[in-house]
Amino acid sequence: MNYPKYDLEVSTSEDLFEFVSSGPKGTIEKTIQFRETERPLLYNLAFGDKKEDGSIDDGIISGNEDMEKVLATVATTVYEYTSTFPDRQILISGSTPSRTRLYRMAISKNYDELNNDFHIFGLVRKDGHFEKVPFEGNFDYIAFIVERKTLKLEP
Amino acid sequence: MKKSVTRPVGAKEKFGVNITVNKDLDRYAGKDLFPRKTEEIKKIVAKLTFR
Repeated sequence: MNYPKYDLEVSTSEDLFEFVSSGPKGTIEKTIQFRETERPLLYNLAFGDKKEDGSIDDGIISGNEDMEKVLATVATTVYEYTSTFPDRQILISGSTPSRTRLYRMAISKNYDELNNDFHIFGLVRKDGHFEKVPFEGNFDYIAFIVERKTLKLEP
Repeated sequence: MKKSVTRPVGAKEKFGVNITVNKDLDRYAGKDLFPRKTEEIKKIVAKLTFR
């Protein structure tokens, strides 16, 4: 997680973040939204580029040559959000399987640090359902769930 | 060993990232900015079993 990160703006409700990516394609506004799902305490992270008409495109490949900085910035929003709402689990999935694999690689690369702060799970397909299993680096998951560690052991 | 519940640190404290509250973003409050994604997630959550 020792990557450069963009500065962020956040809504008063602390569930919507924005930042501006800067690179060869110019400046691109990025939006991250945390939304509740049908399951209590499970929230979805959605992330994409803000288009000129104000809508969001979460399937676009920006090509602004700052992928690590963008992913690190998105990760910081998970830290910030789960600091405010530590009992909420965050569901993370890419807009395509290849993007989900990209997220898996990013988690793997930073696993030791992330594992200090989060319980990390992957979702696998089993008997027609999705099952939450402990994250392992070399497995393709449907999505990921992270949950902030809030218990501290003291001698 | 004693267990205690701690408030997790945020991004500002952990990474020194600048995070500014922008009240202009409140205009999106309650709005689903990613409806396609939400539909995908509904399908995943409907089939999700926690053990």
